[in-house]
Amino acid sequence: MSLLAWTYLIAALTAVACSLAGVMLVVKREALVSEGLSHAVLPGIVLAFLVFRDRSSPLLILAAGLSGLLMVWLVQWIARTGRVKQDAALGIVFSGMFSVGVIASSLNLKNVHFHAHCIIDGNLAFAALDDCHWFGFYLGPKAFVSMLLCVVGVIGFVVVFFKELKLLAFDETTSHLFGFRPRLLHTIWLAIVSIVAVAAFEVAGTILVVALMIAPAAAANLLSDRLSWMFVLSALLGVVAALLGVALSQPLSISPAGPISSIAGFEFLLIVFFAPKRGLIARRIARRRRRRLWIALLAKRNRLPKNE
Amino acid sequence: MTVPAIQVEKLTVTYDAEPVLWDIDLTVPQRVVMGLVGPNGAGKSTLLKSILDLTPKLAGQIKVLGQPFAANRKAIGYVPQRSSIDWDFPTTVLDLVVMGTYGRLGWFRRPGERERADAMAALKRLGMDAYAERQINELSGGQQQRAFLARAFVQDAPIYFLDEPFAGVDVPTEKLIVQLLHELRDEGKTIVVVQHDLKTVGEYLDQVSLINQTLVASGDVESSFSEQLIEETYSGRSRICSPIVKGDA
Amino acid sequence: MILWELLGDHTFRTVLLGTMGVGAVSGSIGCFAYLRRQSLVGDVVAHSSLLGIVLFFLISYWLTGEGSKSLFVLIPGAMVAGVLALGLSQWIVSCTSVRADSGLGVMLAIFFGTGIMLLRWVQKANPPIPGRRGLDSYLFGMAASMTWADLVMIAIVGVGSIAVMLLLWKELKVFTFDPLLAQSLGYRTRWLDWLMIGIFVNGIVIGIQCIGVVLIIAMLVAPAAAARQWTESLESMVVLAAVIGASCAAIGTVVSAVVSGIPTGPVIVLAGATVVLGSILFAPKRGILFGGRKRASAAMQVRFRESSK
Repeated sequence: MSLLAWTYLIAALTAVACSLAGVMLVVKREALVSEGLSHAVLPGIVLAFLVFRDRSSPLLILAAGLSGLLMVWLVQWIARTGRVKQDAALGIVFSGMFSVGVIASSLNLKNVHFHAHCIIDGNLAFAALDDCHWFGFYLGPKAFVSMLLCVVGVIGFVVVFFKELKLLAFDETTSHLFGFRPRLLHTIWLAIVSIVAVAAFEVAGTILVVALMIAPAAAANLLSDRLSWMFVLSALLGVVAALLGVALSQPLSISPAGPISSIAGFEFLLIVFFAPKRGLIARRIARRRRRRLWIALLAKRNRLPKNE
Repeated sequence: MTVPAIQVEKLTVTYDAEPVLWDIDLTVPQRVVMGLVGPNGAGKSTLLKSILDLTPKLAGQIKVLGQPFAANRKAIGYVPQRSSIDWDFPTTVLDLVVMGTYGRLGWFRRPGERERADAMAALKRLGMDAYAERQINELSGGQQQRAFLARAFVQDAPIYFLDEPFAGVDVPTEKLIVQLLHELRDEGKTIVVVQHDLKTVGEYLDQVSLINQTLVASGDVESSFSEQLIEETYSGRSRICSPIVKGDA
Repeated sequence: MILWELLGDHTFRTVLLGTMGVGAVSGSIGCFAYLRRQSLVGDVVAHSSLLGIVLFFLISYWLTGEGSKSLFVLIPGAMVAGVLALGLSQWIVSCTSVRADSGLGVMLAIFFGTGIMLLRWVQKANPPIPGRRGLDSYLFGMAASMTWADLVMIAIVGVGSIAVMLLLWKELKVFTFDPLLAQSLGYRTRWLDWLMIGIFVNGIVIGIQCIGVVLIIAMLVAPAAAARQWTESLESMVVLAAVIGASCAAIGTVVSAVVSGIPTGPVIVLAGATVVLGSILFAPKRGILFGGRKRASAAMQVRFRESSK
């Protein structure tokens, strides 16, 4: 397969993993946690690299996932003390952790390839260069393998725990009463999201994580009456954004991360306007029709007494 | 005598070191409609949360049908306050009612034809079967409340908690809900309703607990819902001082 | 000793003055953002401002033949993009079922994504655009590149915002505390809201050069969150936040000047986060370790045990 084909494939897989992970964040109204996670994984990656000195070690992903969870835990802890408002806690914790990552990587810039611009939008096209072999078999680029694992993992988890996740997001109290351990499940889900964030971060930087986790899911929310559909549509919209984004990046010869996020965002804008039931235009038409109905009714009632 | 549905013993709950509930002993017998009544901020919802084990207690314990909460948690069906629900959540009415069967199904198992049939039957009982495929935001307030009641039916728990079920609901629905609650009680269920509207207490409830940080009174509506006790509950002076003074003395 | 040497250096003095000024202004303005729970809104506005920065750079290139990196050009650009992102997300949230958090996140995708895309294109464009070098330093900030002209622009925006804030102090206070009350008092809340957004955006864009769009949020919120732990009135909170902001900025600037290769912005942010953590733990009244309420609770437990005997 050509390098370009691999790039398309990796972008699409990243989109599927992120946009599925984002669905639960959007319906639980904690979409901006993805912004936090995408930044908070950096110190994990950098510090683990400084310790193990091996870019390809799976321990890096583990460490980064843990540092994402650390952020979630810190924010929850601070919010629970009631001393600092939760949104501020999130903002302070993730930017503080991100700063640790940036400082650590700049202390040792010669050996680490985390230059500032890779952190924001790592070059997806380069991700296809690093090959992965397993017992002598060629599996494809490393980024492809890791994103494929993420996609399989996320889909598997969603399919197996669909009912529990739905109840968790919709009615936590009932989930608690049914013995579905909502807190534990939520933590596990955030751990999965943070591993997806790490893998996507390695492929293409923070911006892609945030954009692909929020925009497709938020757009899918406007289009679907069922959670299952929302998952499917979110993945679809994500893939479309990824493919168009890579296509757009080619003539400009830049990293696809920026174009993909930008297109994911504009996709959402389109849907905000044109969604059949909840779109701006549909709502306006429906409102106008209803108002006309009332006016007609009113006119009728006002006319009646005169005729009598 | 049968075991009480809910027994609260010496419950004290604090929020940020300030007591919200103080030394509450409360018994809800089986087969009654009990109201938890008190002014805003009196700790009604905290009491509800601590019975459902959603908030840490400083002291005290809760028994559900004579057992600790953890052993009997599935015996409780919960109808949340309408304002606490995300009505834009992508779910249909039928889907919502099917959620009531999740507890029975346990981990991993999926709802199937039988669960959907149960849910449809419950919707029919509440006159909501025509709306089964609607998204929940397309319903009126009263219909939304009925959909949640259908879910409670499907759940078939011996005890139900309803948090402000009459808030923002039209009069016919309110009458229907009350009628259903009474039917449920006659079938042997226990129902606990959190309420702050005083006017309808006598008409809707069998028993009432007046709460303002402490338990002011609890028992049959005739005996406990006296003007003096209501006055005491709603007068708003801090009621915790007395036990402390007693303790110090 | 090193500090004296540094202070003798003209460039360092300029940079120190600039970062401290930014710290103080962002910190005091941030108090309102903190109290209105708009911290993450600030983050999105900051990221979104990148699009404005790059676009105004390009416009200056088309007009003059050379891209300008003067703050007189870039700060207005950042303001326009920031206000636009905020306005658009508020509009979408008000007329659809989209939630505020998702709406903001999507603005991040649109504005920051497009900003990054244009930025990378500017860097790669052939033939090269004059003046493009260092444009990407607005991501993480480059305090060392600060000039007197930049300082003047920062001062104009900063002093202007603070002056407006002080002039309308009473109104803004009431509006932050209780918008409905403000309305019933006959204030034009819609104007106040826009004014607030304006001041808020100013507090953000002022720091794009020394801290960068990615981390500036912390400069806005951390001093406010820390100050809140030590004071109980808005007046003292704003003053204290300004002091904390300026101090953190000074620490960051000195550290990055002494240790080579360390970027200024992240050190400032880290200092801010540390101060917040310290304040949560140690503040006399609200602090977790020595907080008065904790002691009250212990006493209460004892009484409780006694009373239930």
